[in-house]
Amino acid sequence: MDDGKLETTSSNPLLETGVEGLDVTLGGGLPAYGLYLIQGLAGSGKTTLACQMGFIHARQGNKVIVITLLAESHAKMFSHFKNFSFYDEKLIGTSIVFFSGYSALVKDGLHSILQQIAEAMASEKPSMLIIDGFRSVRTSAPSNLALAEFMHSLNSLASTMQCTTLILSPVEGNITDSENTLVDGVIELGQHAQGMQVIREMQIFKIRGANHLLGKHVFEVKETGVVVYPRFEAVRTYSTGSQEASGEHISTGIPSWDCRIGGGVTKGSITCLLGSPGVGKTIMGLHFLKDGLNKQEKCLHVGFYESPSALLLKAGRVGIDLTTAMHDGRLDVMWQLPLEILVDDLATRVFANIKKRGVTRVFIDGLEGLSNLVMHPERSRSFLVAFTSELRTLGVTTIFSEQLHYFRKAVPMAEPSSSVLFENVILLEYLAYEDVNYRQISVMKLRENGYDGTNRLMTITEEGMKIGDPVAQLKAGRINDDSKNCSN
Amino acid sequence: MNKKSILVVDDEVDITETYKMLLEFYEYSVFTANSAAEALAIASDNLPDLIISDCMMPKMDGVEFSKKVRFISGLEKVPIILMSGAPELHDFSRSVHTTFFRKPLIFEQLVKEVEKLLS
Repeated sequence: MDDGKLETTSSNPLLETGVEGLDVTLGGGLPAYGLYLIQGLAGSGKTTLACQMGFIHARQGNKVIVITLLAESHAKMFSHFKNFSFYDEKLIGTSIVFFSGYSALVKDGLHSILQQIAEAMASEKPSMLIIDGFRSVRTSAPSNLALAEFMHSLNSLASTMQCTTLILSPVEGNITDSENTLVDGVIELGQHAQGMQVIREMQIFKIRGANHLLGKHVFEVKETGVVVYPRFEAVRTYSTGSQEASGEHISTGIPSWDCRIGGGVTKGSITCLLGSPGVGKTIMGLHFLKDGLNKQEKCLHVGFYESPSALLLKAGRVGIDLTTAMHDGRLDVMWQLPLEILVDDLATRVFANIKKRGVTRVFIDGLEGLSNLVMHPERSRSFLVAFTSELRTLGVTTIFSEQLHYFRKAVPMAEPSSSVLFENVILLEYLAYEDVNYRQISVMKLRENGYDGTNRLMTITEEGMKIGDPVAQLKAGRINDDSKNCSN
Repeated sequence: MNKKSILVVDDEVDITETYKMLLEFYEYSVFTANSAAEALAIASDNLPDLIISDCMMPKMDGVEFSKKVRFISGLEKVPIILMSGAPELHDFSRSVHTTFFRKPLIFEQLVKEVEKLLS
């Protein structure tokens, strides 16, 4: 008796799809040899996503079979794929093989197509199978029981032949039908409309054996194919990084302000400059960046309204030269109109820039620009919490500007989440006194710093921003140039 | 050509159907049974050239089934491949099987074993 024990692992390895952002969303990839349903209405991107996975898998030296159960010709499919960079004509017929199962299904029903799949698996030995047009299977099934038996057999085939199998079905929702309950995972592609704007969204209802990210994630169909942007706050929730405490203060780039707030802001902290339009928020942020650039630090400016050239001009007018730093790479300017862009995409690019360049100072000019990109308003707070948390984890000292209305009659309402978002909140505003508009600056919150709580006048000249006399002195008629004197 | 015949026994229908489809691709004639009792009847009537059986089945497990197969005239020496996902649950000390595979197994390994035993 040969009691040969051929051990195989009971937990299947994860198959990395290679689709940008998808593997993070899946919790590392698809558990191999499973049966997965990719569902979504027409035009949702099912075929593109599945075939992109197929081409990537084939390019890695694996065999892939695509069985189509549609009347659509393969030539038409190929002409569609030719628009994507993942398409590789050389792989077709060798590493990635297309079969049509439509005829067998129509003539002889479910068992016939199952037999064809089994024969294809046995002869070609693929490690990935894609079945496009699953609606044909559904409509061919004489009963729900027959469909359930088909799904059981297909799952068994996938497992037995160690072939990760994707079936594509034009349905929506986590329904209780056989194709949803008898598969190892369900990925839904859909769209979300807000006003006239529409974004593509992905939701993973289940992936057995994987720690996938719950909820919806946006994706785009680009020239490279599908690109998924895992919901930033969901990724951050599972991130293990934490902030390193630092008592070090770094300069804001405005000496007359530093001396009144205990030497600057805490390293790695996040400061919000809250103020009226044109009051000087951007210039204050540019001073902060310039100080870092002078110390050979890498800095990043993220703006939504002023183009890089407009920004350079604005900085130059107040004596801040950023041109050299932009040319030598110390400063990078990410300028993005806050229109139809995806906030998760922007967040991904911002943090990629920070990590790649070793950025230590960031100025995000327009918190509202960032918030406005969040398509689901209820997401805004959690996104910003995750965004600022990631900045802290990376040890980046950051300034956000946030715009107030032109005229206000009361102290700005405290945003409930501001305590979580920002260590420091500085208020910049206009002060109308005796027919003259002055600028004033005051501290609303400054964590871990001793500071002068006096409301002070702020001036912007060709030499930049200076913080001067207390506002009370203006009102008492005792104005001096206090910007170089920190004793008052 | 006279095809070699294989009896596949498993209480899970999808497993027997899958193996049937795949083994037929390799030009074997395949019978299936979803219980040991049904399998004994089919074995007795058809005298298969090889038997593949799951271990964990209700009423009569694969080890017991194998012993009974040996009492069928003509099947005293038939190769029997047993498979189980939990072999520790079975007493193989007096088992009369030919080869054992732990589930899940790679199908190609099974085919190679089948080819070897039938050559």
